[in-house]
Amino acid sequence: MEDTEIRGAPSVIDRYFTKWYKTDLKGKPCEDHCVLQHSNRICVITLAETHPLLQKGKAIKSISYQISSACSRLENKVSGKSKRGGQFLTELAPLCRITSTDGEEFTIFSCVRGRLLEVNADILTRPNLLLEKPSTEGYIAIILPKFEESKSITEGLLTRTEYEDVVSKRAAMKGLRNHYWYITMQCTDAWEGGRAKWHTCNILEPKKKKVQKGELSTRRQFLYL
Amino acid sequence: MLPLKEKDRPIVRALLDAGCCARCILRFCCVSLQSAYRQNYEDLTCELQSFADTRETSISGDSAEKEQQDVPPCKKIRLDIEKGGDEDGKDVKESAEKTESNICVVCLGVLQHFCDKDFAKKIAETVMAEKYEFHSLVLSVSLPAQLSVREHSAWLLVKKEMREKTMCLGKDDVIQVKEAYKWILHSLVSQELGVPALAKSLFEVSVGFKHPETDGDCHFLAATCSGCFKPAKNKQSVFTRMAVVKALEKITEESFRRKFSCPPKRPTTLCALQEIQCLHVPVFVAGRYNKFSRTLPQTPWVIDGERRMESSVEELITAPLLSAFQAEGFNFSSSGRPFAVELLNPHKAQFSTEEVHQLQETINKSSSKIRVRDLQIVTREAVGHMKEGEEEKTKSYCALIWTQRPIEENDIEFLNDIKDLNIAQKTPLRVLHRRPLAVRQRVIHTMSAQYRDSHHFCLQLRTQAGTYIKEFVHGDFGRTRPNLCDLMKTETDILELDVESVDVDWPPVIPEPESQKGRSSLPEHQHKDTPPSQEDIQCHPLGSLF
Repeated sequence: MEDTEIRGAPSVIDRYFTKWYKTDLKGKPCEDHCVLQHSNRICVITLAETHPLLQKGKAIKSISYQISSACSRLENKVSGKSKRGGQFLTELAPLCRITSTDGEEFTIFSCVRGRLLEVNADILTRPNLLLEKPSTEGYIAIILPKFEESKSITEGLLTRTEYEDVVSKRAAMKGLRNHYWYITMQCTDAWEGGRAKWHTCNILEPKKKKVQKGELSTRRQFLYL
Repeated sequence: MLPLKEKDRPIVRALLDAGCCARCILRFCCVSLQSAYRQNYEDLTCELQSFADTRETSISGDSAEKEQQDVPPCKKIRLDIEKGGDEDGKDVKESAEKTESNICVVCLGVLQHFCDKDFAKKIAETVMAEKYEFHSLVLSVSLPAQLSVREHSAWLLVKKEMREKTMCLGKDDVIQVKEAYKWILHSLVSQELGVPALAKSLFEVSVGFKHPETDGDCHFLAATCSGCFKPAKNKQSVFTRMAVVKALEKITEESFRRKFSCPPKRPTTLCALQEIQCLHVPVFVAGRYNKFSRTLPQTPWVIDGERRMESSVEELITAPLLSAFQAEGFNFSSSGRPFAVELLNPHKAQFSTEEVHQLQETINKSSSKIRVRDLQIVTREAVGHMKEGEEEKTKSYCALIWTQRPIEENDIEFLNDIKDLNIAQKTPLRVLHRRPLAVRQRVIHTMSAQYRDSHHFCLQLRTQAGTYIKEFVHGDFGRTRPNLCDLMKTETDILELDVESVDVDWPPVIPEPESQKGRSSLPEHQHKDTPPSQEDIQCHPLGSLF
């Protein structure tokens, strides 16, 4: 753990939390989330370090917890010890939408089933918290899974080791990708126009791009996509 | 001689006819002379009978005289002893009457058979068997609800009788069954157990009666006064005493007479004893404790029926108390180091100061992990004060802090100047699963920092009770603001935390006898300003205080 190496003792996260990961949410490449699971079963949803928002040069334009006209995560209110009133979330329930200055839109998802306790209102006023301290002050939400489900919620998630595996495979695939695309191109009639297919490194939803006749002057053009 | 007057005679007669017992009749005549009720039942009955049969001697008017001569002799109250010879001469009627029971229609026998010396003996035996220690007792009686209905019926009868004689009598003047019963039984039980029976006492003996035969007597009330009878979740029957009394207040005389016979029907069975229960008021024991193990939890730590940690503070303190006081249960509450235990239904409640001190020694000898002092018996009010005082008291701590950026001595000096810092703490994540989500305003009164090295310093704090120190230091995901990271402008974490002292005066300090001095209580001491020594910090390794 990097934290331990620097300080010589485990950090708060190391002491209390287990890190779980969910990668490529909804098929979107590298949109990875990190779920910090406390020993008392409470889960803190954060962005994983590989999330596009946390990469160099990204700035946040806006964050919104209004996920639909009827539902705002900001209005979530719980009361009492059993946290009644909290919105119940499934794994793919959206928590918030974040727009970056270069126009990209990202949705952050719950990743675990449970009751929403609170969302981080601080990042609305100070979006930099999310970029600078995504694992602590820049957290997205806090969720309380059902007592009976506290062990099963991690079944759909990756451990730190598995996550690191995925990340290293991606890096390797990046090199391959260009080559792959090249091969695909040769198989299709894209040179004449029509539809060209190219696959992401995780072989999920194939992205389709319409190509105009003559648009491709060189194959290399597509390699930089 | 019974303290009955002329005006009572028609009432007596009417009630005798109805099938009322002697003592109930006295009640309806508003006789408040307790000794009258204590008289032997048979003697009482005879006296009453003769009173009823006596012709009026005074000349109070033609109408009265005339009425009297027309009144047929009353039915005799059947006594257990068979009487030979009939004064009425109405053989047929008498033989029919012989098959009728002589159980009182109003009190269902409670004032007839359950207030003699034998019954008192029975109560005494039951109480002695439970082996309680007590110096007085309070007797409480619970009677079936239908007695109120029957009482009401008899009352209407009396009222009718009086209306005809143009007399007036308030229902409140009538002596209640319970009252009369206690007048008789108190002295009897007192004699058997050798302690006074008072209106208030630490020890309660409750006697309960039931009469299933007439349980249905109340049911008609549900139809007429349905508003009074709401089904309560934890009560078996809707017809509680309170509800029945309320309904009787509401119902009109006509509706009542339509649904319920006036006078009430004679029962065939006697009231039966349901139970005799003994209860002692809880005793409160308070003290202070010091914990010497970082792995000892306060309450038993059990997850999914499986015990996670051996023993707990609560168990170590309450086990000897439970056995000494012979209590049936307890409630343990503590605000930090001062604690209070409520011992439920203790069979033994009187302890001298020396005995309590002995108890303290027993606890201290039982485990090296805790030490109790100032153990004493306190009142319920005092325990209330303990809880109230929580908001006002302060606690002192010493924490070892790690900083991410390198620091120098003068970087931490500003902390010494901070006074009464207000912080807002959302419920920390580590307790959020069992506490409600809320924001707590707390005050850090003073701080004092001692430099250790470029990444460590020792921070002493005096804070309002209820402050989460660890969360103040590392910020708890920014949910405590301001936190030490904000103040120091770097990430900070807490490596060790020790409670220095709890600054509260309760419970009162009990000076230790000479023999006990010598064993110091570390690391807690009353001098708040003395910093802990190097040894104190080093002998508490990183552990489960986190």
